[in-house]
Amino acid sequence: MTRLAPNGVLDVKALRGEFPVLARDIRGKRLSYLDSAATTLKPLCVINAVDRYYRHGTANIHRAVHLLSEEATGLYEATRTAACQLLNAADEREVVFTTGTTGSINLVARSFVKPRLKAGDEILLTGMEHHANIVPWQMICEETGAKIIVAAINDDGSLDLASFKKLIGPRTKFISCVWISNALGVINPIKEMIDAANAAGVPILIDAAQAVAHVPIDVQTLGADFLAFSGHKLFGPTGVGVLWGKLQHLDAMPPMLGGGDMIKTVTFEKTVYADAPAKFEAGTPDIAAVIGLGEAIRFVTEDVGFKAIHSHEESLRNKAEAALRDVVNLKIIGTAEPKLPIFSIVMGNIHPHDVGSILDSYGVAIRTGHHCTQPLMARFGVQATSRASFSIYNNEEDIENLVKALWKTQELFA
Amino acid sequence: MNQAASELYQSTVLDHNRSPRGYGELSGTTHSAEGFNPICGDRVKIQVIVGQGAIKEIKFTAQCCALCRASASVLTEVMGGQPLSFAKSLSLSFQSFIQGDAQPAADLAKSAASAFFAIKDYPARAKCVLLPWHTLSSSLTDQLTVSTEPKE
Repeated sequence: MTRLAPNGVLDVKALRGEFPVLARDIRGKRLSYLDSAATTLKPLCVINAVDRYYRHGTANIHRAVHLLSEEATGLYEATRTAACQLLNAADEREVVFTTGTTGSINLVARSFVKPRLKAGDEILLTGMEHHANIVPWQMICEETGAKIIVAAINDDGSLDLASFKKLIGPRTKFISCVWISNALGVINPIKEMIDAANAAGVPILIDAAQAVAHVPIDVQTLGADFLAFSGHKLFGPTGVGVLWGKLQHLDAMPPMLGGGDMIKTVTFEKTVYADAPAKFEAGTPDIAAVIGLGEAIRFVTEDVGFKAIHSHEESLRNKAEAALRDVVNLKIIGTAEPKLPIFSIVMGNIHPHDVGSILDSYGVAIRTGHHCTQPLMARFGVQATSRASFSIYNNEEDIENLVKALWKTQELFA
Repeated sequence: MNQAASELYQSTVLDHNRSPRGYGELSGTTHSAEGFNPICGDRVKIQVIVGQGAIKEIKFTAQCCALCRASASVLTEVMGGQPLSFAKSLSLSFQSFIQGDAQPAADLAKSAASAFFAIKDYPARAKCVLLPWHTLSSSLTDQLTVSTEPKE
């Protein structure tokens, strides 16, 4: 059911009713959930889809001929179709279900990139990567003698695009970069980055974990080689994600896990693997989560839509930015535009954990710490920040509560 | 201030954070250790001079949150001049009260450390308060560094 008002604007009040957690009382206060960059809340339709599978239709997939198994297989594969449409992929076989963005990146690192690496080769990353887009590459570099090259970040949190382009050279064997920074909310010029990779003939992976709930994705227009996202940052369940890859790459990649559901024939002498994507989906997957993800994709594309998301989030960003500007002794790291309503806040000498605890006592849920981006924190000379991140269900009251609690924090430590 | 915040950040805690006691470097230390919480980056160094079975002097330096800093400050206040046996039993009582089911020992309940008792209900912050105490314990047993996380 659409959650847009007749004028095409998000009906936030009605939408909030879809997210049961928002009705919770947090230490006697109304919940201001401002941690959607860590994970989004789940709408009832997603919760119901997961519940329905367990309550009404539990069965394994791709196996039996009985009705329950056929239904489960149908729902599981319908999510693949939905993900294919969400990404505007050319072929459903390009959509691989994984455990999440981390699982997707590790699969590409192990199966696609590592066999191509030798000592002295380079993998290009940016200085704003999540640990999930650093550590897998370090692991294969240690095993092969290849090394990681890092494109610089400007003082305003934007990528130094010229340095990024300059770092693509004859030794660059792979590029992996984040579309939208989870720590700062800054949106990278992803199309230009992909074009530069393509021009040099270097395959590129896009970490779309933070992008997927905020911007429309068209992998055919983007022209990247791989793209990864997690279901739980798209209003879906945890434990499921997608790796999209060009079919010729997926076909050429060896599977990482052997087991059931990824084979054509097995004898004790030899196994013939299934084609992509099945060869990457060994064992019984998190069927309920995949079904929930399908419902989440339907929810975000049909009930809400990226146009309404963009205008609502831009409005939140402008209002929150203006309100935060008035708080004394408060600095935002990552001010470059375009950006999402994600605010990485530093408040003088007040430690982010103290900020987080005071805000929590006012029902304001934010993330404090390094946001799994320690190199980026080091770039800005901080150990940690207090991060407030907004999503479709947030409203002006959340901004007011945030700012009020930040003022209270200032008073307490003044 | 609301209830949850005032439980965690009592006036004693805020005062110790603002004007920490026993802050600084000590010369002629007999025992010292550094404590580190890799999750949040908190760092505490405890330096001690032990003589005749007692803590003659104790100081700390730290880069950390308010709770950790205030806790280190209170620690130096309650431990200074005390016999080692008292220091060890007080530490043990504090840790097992915060992280376990034990009732606080009488000495602990009447000490300034009782300002941190509410942390029991906020497990995510318990490590902040306990880090200086763990660090003191390890300095007295001559462990040079201590972490809030299991050893690799």
